Amino acid sequence: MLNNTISSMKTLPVELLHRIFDNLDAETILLSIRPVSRLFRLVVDNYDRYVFDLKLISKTNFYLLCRLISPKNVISIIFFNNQQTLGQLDLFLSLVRLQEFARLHSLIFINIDEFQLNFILKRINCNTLTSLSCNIRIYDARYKNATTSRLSSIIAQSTLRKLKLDISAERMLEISWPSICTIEYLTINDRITMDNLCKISQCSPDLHTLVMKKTSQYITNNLTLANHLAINFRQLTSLIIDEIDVTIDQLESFLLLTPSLIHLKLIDGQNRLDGKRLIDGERWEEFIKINLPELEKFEFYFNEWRLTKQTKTDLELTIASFRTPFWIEYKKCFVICECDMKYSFNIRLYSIPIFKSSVFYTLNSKKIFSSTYHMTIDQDVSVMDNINLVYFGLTQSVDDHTEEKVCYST
Amino acid sequence: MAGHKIKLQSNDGDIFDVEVEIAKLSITIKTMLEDLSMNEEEIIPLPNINSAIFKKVIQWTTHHKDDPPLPPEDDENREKNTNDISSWDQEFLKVDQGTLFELILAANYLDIKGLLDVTCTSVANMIKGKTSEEIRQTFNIKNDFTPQEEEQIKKENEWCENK
Repeated sequence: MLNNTISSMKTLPVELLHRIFDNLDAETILLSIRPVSRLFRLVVDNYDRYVFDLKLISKTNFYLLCRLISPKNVISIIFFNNQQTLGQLDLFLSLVRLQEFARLHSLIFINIDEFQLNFILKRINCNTLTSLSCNIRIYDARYKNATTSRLSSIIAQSTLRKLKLDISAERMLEISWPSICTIEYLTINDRITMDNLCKISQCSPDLHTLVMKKTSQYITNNLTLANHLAINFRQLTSLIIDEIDVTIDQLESFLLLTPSLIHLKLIDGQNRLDGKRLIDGERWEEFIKINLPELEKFEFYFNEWRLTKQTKTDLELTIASFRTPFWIEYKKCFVICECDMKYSFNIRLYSIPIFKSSVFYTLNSKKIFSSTYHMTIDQDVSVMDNINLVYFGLTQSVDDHTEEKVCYST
Repeated sequence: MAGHKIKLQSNDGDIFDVEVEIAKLSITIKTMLEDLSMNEEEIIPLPNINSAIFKKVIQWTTHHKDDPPLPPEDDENREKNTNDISSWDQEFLKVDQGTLFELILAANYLDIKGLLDVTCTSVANMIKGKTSEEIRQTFNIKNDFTPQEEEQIKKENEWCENK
């Protein structure tokens, strides 16, 4: 960056160009950037942080990419099965030698069949893994022992930091946890038991983030076990619970086990469980003051079904408990309470910016809302910064309902 | 110590009074302050950054001063497809290409991970979905392949189409 030199892409050092490539898929790097010029061909040929994502690679370029990418330059593979990529995973396995992927840091299995999982784990080098994500689609009883043994072996590695397990309770229970596990970030599904979670917590002193996909009834119904064993999850500083389907009492009982939380994210489930009573700012305020003294960030998205049609006044009353100095001045937590007039028995209360990554958009919906924030969503688009997916319920022509509001470049 | 300021000098001679807490978002400056016991009046030179770019850097660090710390630098955290840029950063990065690349170099030199991430993501987003020719046009890059080399690249692509 010398004086009088106008910087351009060509003048960036190789390591910075590689850093830009880190944000791009293998197809773009190899098929769009590599043929740009001699310099870019050379820079791409020296790139060694490819993510091979079977979910993203188009069928037409599949053979070429399998040939062009050297296994030693791949740091992550995403194995994926679905209708759109039928047979692609098996084709990949026939085109490459799994043993040659020697620098893998991350392995992600999505919708994998248990025999495929074992075929891959048997051949691939897992010694350098820092991250493993496993979601099994079809189980095969014959592989039960092999699966749990292979997963246990990876979990016992001292390099592993991030673990996501979306597997059956039966497999989960068979995994043996090492006396010291190095994971820091754990994502689990609702098939985990309290006993299992206690075991993981006890052997994972560095575990700081827990993501729970659905609140497990196995856990909330067995909270007394943790009390009985005098166990808590004191090491946790961040907790995310997706699809809550328990009552506020059960949720609070679980949160009593996590006294060191700094960051808490809660997303309500869609079911009409009566008496959840999650929307109560006063109760949350008291609970946080007493039991979560270190909590800095509380993000939530709650639903509640009411017995009567809701009006603007009802929303104002609901939101009143979030207008206290605790929420606005101390926690800087602002909320919106809204209701679609078509479904006016159901209200939503959420912190802003909205932290959910996807939302449903209903055409012709007439919403009423109340907010503790000084601007509306239209005035401050940063409220929607985290949303990257919008579902449209298209049942009629949309020509008359479209209006350009914001154009995002991402 | 909030409010306490230090003096930083760009390569074209301008001197900036910057709050220590904001300046310390740059690991380069933070290390300098920790390694060299400097007094308040001493000026820290930044020989690689001009004042226009440094003003932008200060604007970005001031806005992001309360952000939670980013995870440590490693391959695991370089996950693909995290290409969302906040609306404030999108506005901030509405600059000409020269400035954008200068910001990348400045973020790299000053070791400000958040700024480096967002500027690199912004360039990646300019590349996404483009053909090689469109990338050349966007970034004003000359195609310097010989006809033979072009032919070779074409053959590589045909190889897959024939499968």
